[in-house]
Amino acid sequence: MNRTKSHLILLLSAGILLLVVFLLYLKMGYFNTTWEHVFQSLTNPNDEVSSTVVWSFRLPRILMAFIAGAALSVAGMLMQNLFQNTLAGPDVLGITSGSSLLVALWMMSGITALGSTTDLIFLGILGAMGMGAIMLLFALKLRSAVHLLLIGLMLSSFIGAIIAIIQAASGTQDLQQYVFWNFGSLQRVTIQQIPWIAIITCLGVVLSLFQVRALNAMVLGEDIAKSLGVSIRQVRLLSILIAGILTGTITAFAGPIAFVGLAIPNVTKLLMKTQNHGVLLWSNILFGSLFLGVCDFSIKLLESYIAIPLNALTALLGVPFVSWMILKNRHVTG
Amino acid sequence: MRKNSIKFLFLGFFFVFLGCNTPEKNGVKATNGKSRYSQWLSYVKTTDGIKLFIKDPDKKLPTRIIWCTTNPKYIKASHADEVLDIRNIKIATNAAAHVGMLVALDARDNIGAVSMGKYLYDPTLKQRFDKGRLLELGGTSIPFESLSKQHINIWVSAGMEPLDQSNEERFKAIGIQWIPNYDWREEHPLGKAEWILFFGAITNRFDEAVAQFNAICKRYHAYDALPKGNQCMKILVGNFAGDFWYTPLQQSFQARFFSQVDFCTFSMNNKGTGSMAVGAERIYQEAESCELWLNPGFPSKQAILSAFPKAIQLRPFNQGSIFCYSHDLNKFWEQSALKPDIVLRDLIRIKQGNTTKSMLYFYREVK
Repeated sequence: MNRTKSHLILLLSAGILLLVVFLLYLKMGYFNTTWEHVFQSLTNPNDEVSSTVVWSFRLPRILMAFIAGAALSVAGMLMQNLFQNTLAGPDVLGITSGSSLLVALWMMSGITALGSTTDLIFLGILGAMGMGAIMLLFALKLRSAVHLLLIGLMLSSFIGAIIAIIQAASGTQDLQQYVFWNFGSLQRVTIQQIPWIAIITCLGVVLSLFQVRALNAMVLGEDIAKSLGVSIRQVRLLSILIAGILTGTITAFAGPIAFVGLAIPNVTKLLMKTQNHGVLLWSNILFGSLFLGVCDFSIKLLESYIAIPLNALTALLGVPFVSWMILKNRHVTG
Repeated sequence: MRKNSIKFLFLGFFFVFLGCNTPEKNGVKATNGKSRYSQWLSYVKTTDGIKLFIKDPDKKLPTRIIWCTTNPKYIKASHADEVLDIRNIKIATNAAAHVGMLVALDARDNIGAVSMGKYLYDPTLKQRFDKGRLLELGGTSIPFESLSKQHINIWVSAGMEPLDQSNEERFKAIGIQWIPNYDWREEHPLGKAEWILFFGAITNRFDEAVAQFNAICKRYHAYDALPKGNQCMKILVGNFAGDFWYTPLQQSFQARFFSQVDFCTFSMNNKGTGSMAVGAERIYQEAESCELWLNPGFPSKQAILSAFPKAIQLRPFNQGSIFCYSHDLNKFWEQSALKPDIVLRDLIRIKQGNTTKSMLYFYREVK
């Protein structure tokens, strides 16, 4: 079996699983719904309890899980390519923290400029891109991947300290809003917000598609990439822009979600055994969506027995994998 | 003659035995105290002061027996007792409810340090804090040096942090007694309020504390005896934090109030003293049979929607009413422990529909 065929089979399997998770998610839950209810709610949503449960509670949550999983995984893939480091990811390099900082400032200052949703998206993206740019500056100076990761971790702690100071100075209500947001939740997103998030994520994915050739060249090293006619400066800027857009949007709406952007791009590389970013991009979209969808579905199925926060589950699954990956780093391509 | 010697010997042993077990002047047993509602605090009044017995709800620490006195020299305490000289007390506390109780006893001058001073409600204390006359304890580590400089001699702790050996030694070295206060573990509202006697004892205002507590009990029972309207009115309590909605369990402090008023929540069928986490779908389904939502944690509908946009789907949000104390959280945290009667009165009035601003003390309608 040639590699393209195996890639297609894996992607097709992920796609089918994604559809299965999607349908089961809409059908199963605390409230008993039949397939008829699900179909009716999707085609003709009304005020009935079953319709509201499917349309307003289940649908936006699973769609957000898919979008967030895809967006964070693609952002992670771009970060790993940009820094030429398999341990790079939006949360490790402080990109998520940058987004959190501006969202925290906005929430705890109580100032609204363009309307709450627009402010949230704009600041989430701006914060993520700002941190991405800072990290890039460090990346230009530092060649050691370890040093770069240390800088990322230190900057995350630095931002954490700033947020702690803002928290100490803020009022009770603003603080409460921020704390709730910081828990990370897919539940908060409404069906009306989904198109916005989907459009921005699609924009990021489309921009990434235009980058595929350059990303593939970057794997060979900057010198070879230059000789192949790739503008390194443009690739870097675009990668930061896209990663910022994707991470910032998701963080703004769902709060910080850990480990997806770090673990999934590596899992994808292991599964697909390729450096072709055309394949990796679609794989990250599918596997990222599937991972977060399954995580959220598990949380929903287990909620009668135990309340597992989303970030706890992603960390529970992500930490052992990343630890294993560090130990077996040689086996990971890239 | 021999028979008499045996009798004397027996009597002698008897008195020695009695003497060993009752070292106190007034014949009060060292292991007993009384309380009316509190599970973790009991007390005995003696001629030389007040003896407090503080039980650890987790049974990890032995019962603390603290003899609060203005005559430490005359106390013949047994080995297990600690003597607390209450003539010149300066307290550090890390709980708003403690501050409220000390304020109620007019013992502001006994407060030397507080945690999160910016959230103080009492205007006098707030002013003192702003002028730097009250020490800020912070939230992470114990500021031993500052405590010593501020002449603090008692650290009244909410008892949440374990007192490890090194901290215990440091406290002792600078002459501070660490005393746990488990009012937050009480299940009965009056049990929590009864801890005012603890503060009365350590600030030499015990009689005043007893009088206040008796008045609180009287008012609480009077409100409790009022007709409250329909039985088991189903209500929604709590709000989302992350993906889960947190609502109080049957034996929790909050649930006790609700059951006094004949409010029912689905979580009150589940035993426990904390809260339970439930998913959004269940809340939506439960909310369909509720017209009242209590304690969402935010003072306005806009704030609720910002934190949890799907609240708009909940029936009480659109067709019912929402009440909360969040418009003045500092007031609630500082005063509610000592005013369970007022909390109860507010809830009764909410149930009866007497909800104008002047009729409610802690609660207000969320609009």
